[in-house]
Amino acid sequence: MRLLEDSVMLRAWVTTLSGVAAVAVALGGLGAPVQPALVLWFVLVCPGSAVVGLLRPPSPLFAVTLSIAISCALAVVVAQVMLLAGVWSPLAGLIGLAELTVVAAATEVAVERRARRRALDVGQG
Amino acid sequence: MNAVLGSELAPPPLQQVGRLLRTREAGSLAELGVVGVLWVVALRSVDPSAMTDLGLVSVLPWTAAVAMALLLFSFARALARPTSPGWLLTAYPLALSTLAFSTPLLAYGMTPRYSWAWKHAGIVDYIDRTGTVDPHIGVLPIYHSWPGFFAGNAMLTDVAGLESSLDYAAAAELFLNLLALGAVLAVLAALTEDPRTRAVGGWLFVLGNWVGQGYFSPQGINVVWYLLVLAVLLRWFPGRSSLRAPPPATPARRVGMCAVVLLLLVCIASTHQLTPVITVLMLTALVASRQTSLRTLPWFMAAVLAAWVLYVAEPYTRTALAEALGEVGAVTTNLDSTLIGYGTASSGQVVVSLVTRVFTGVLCALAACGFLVSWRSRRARPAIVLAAVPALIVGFSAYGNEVVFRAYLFALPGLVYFAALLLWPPGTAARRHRALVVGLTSVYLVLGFGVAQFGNDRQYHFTPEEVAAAEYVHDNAPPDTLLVEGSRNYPSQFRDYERFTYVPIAQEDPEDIRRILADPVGVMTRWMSDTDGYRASYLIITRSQVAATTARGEVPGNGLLAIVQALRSSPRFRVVFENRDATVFQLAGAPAGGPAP
Repeated sequence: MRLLEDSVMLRAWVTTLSGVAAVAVALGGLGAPVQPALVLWFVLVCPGSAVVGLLRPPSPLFAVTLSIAISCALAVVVAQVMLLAGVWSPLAGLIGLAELTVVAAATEVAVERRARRRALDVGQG
Repeated sequence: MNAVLGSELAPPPLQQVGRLLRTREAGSLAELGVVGVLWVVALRSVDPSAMTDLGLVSVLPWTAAVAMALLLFSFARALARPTSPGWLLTAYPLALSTLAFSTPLLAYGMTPRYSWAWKHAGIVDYIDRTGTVDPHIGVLPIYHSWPGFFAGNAMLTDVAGLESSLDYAAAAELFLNLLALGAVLAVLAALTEDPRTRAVGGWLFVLGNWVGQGYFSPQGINVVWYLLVLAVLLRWFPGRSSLRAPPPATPARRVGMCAVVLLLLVCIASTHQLTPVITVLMLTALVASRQTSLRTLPWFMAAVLAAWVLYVAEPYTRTALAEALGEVGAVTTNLDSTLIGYGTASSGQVVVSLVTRVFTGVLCALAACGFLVSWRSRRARPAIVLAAVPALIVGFSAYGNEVVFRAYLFALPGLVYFAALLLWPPGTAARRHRALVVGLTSVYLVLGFGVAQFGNDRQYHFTPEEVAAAEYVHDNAPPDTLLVEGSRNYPSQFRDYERFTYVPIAQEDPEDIRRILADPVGVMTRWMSDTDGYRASYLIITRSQVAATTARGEVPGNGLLAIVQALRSSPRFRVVFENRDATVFQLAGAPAGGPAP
């Protein structure tokens, strides 16, 4: 249980910090190699990883595949909505993805803590 | 005494490493490491310019063969060992896919294969520059009606601070093929619990996937989404007839999984034209055969697809749908135009085509035998749907000559499952002779895969010199430029693509091509001196155009080279750019090229 909670916290921190860092380097225009590496890592992996954390797929390989596929899907949806609504702004899209990631990661941490408290209550009761 | 006790309790680190290396898993991992190093060494020494029309296999050094042989041997050994864990067995298809699809990166660098990848980069560039799409645009309008993939990449390129999506497009081949394999392994995990059958299935999927759709393209990511939808449906939402119980999950998590499926379906409908059609057919077949409990999904997908086609993509649909519908059902015509013309193709390309057919036939025969031994089992039912339904799109011919390849690609997960059932039936104990059969079958399949996947690479890969020539034209041509090309097969349309009117010589009627070859200077002068219609005219001939037209027999003999020679010696033309692999001409009287406004 402890290990599971640790891995949840670790993933939540990594995805959240990656989102914040990606937005920061994009705003600052840091340039290669840090900006492309960090932004590609965040956009292609992190939003899906935060969402998949909530779903708990049984195999790590499936979790990784699903994380990346969902990240690509979310990027496509965000970009396409901006494009078709006539409000094209890549930076706003990136910020939107980062917000989504933070919300998903925070939800996972909250769900995990609640489950742990319940387990403790049951144990003590 | 203490020291002695200490060494007994905890052996020194070196001894620990030695013990770890002696374990069989570590031995397998070490073998994979050696294979990787050998492959990199082999591919770095390849000279792509020496390639014949048999493709990349014609220049592979012996070290590549040794690496592949070692990989086959190691996989067979791991299969034969009763103690091999599932993760190790799964590592082999992943290693094979990494080797196969890092090959273009190692051999050709960061210059993407396939001219279509460059066109896709052109649409990304358009959205990045303008922040809009134009469904009424004259060139490549279809991409503007299904812009999701391009919009996503435009956003990514912009926020990553990259100049163009071409900076990473070459790596998409490895990225998307590994993702597709991960998704296929998830589908196979829904069909069987045996890790050996799954590993053999994944291994066969890598080898059978020679169609070359996993590159920088909407269909590359769509295949992954499609496979993941199937994996989630078969595993988490199985039908009444399913033998496996879904993994334990809270209702909230099941709702979450369902939401993921809906997200992926919306993405499929809005980013590609063919995948949603297959998806609707597949979902309908899965529901009809009671393989999934999400019975409303086909309706949802059909509604999203209809909304997209009739509303968002309406400008394109109105003009193209009538044409496409007119061709639906023309199965024979589609089959005919799919296959290369043996009368005109070069001898090497005929060999490549024959090997590809035999290889595909062998894989389908393995699947058919697997089907025959297992079709009575309820276990086989979802896989029958997976393998059979994609064949329905052969009559859907807006894709003309490519549709058979696409149907094969979509059927492949089902096909490899049946082939894996034949080679390693679920529940079979680890046996040497069975592993030997997998190893020996793989030898033939690897050879076939090498020829089928990389057999057209003389024309499908591009050199930096060709890219430089295309960049020269794109940098210097004003808007409304006529660009005469030897063929469409070269790095083109990747920047400011809407500025040009493209006239590929290879796509002219055979009669017109003969006329051009009879008098290249006269015909080209006439084409390129239309100053009323165009502000400038260029003619570009590159190495890959020559390779493609000779391989397919589109222009008789070395026709494009003859045109270059004729124009070079004519006073009416001047060479404005040239290097080892490309020549760009303008009319002698045309103003000298300068930076485009």
